[in-house]
Amino acid sequence: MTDDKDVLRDVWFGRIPTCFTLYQDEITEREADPYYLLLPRISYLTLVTDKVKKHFQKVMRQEDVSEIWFEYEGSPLKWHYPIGLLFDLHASNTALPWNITVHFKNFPEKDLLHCHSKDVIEAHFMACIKEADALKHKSQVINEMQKKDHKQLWMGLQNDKFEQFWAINRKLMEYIPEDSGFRYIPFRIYQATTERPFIQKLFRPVAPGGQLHTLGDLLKEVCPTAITPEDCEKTIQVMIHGIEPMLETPIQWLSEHMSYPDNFLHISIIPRPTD
Amino acid sequence: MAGVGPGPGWRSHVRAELQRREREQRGLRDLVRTHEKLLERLDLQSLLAEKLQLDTGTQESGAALDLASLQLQHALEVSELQQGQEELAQTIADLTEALTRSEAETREQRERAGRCARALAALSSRAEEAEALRAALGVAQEQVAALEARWVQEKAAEAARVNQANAQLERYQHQVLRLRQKLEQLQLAAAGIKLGTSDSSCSTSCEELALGGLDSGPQGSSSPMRAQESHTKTPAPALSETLGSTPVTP
Repeated sequence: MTDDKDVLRDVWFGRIPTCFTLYQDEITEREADPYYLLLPRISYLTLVTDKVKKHFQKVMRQEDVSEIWFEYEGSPLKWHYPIGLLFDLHASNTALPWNITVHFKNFPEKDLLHCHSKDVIEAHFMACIKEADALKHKSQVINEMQKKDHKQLWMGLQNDKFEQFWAINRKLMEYIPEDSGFRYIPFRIYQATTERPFIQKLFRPVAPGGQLHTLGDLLKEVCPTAITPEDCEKTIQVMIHGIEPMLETPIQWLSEHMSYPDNFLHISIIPRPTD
Repeated sequence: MAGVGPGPGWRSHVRAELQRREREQRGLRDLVRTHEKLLERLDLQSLLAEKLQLDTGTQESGAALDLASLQLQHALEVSELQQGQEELAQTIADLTEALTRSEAETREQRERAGRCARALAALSSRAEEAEALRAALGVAQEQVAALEARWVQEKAAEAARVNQANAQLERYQHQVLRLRQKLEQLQLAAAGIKLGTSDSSCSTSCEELALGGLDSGPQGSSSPMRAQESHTKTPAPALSETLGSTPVTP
């Protein structure tokens, strides 16, 4: 795993240039300038937008300020999805910067979870990590860690500290050499064109004969529509962290190197642009 | 590490794509970063300006305003330098922490290497001992094989001797039996002659018997009999039976 540390760093330090604009119907005392920010792909909206909130709250009256939420082209953005996933799913084929609209009123209760404090984000993040380890190691690795190790994972993400995070996370990426990989791969597949939130199933990284399963094998099994026959034109993109890995890429390697900090591989299936 | 796939193509593809992604966003990214910094500087400037205005109170003359502006400029620069200093301090702290972690890992790996070396040395000496034992076992096995061969040979020789002795014994016993029979016949013949028997057929028979006994001489050698006569023999017929029903009266 240490041979591909450059991949881990590129994934961690990926940024999306974003322009935040206040919703036109929000009541302001003066005109609000847009706010530009580089959003970390691996983080969560409500964790990195304190400055955005302060910037717009300066031009608003206190009584008009409620819980902040974000929207892109009419779709509320789920704060509990990683930022990189939201971008890949909604706006990867549009021009940068990513234009996000900021709201302080009419919170969409049916579409979004509330996020009143950083503790909520931490709880969600740790729950994802524990779920991922349950799939990978039957929760043995995460349960053997001390509370301070769990805290270090969270603080590493919150403070954007790569070394601090991976000092602990590397243990969650280990496995017995005889097994050739994790027990199951923690993954979720998202399709912008369906109502279904995501696809998540049990999938082993190694076949009974010992061959490594690939991204293509995963898609064939859990999302066959994502695979285009060889003689047909490709109409679909399979995107992770803003790139399209080859379908021959071993899924075990992807899980170790291109998972988000919550240890899940979040995969977007989106229509390929026609131009 | 799960790095073995059908070939390195997929790995270099991922690397190349990540670098392409960064290249495409670099210009805009640098712009946004600069914008962020400028915005922070502007906020700081406004804050300091407010603070200075509060300190100085009402409107001042041009010189005082210049001085205030200069003070503001200096305060801004000091603030930026302090910010830079804090960032550097944080970077140093992070690097120190990373260095400490690396040193701890290096120490742990050195210890592990030492343990492995010691285990290897112990295993090597055990392997040597096992090799010596194996050699000794080989020698012992050869000796056992030789002893077994010799034992088999001796057993075979002994069996041959026993067989030879048994054959000899059987011959002696046959010889004894014939001699006994002959003796009995002779005794019979003698008894017949003594009696001066009128039974010519009897005397003829006796003569025949005597002649027959003499003819069937011993076929074996003249070695002495063994004490053991283990095989069964047909007992010699009783004298009365040989002579018929006529009782012999002196």
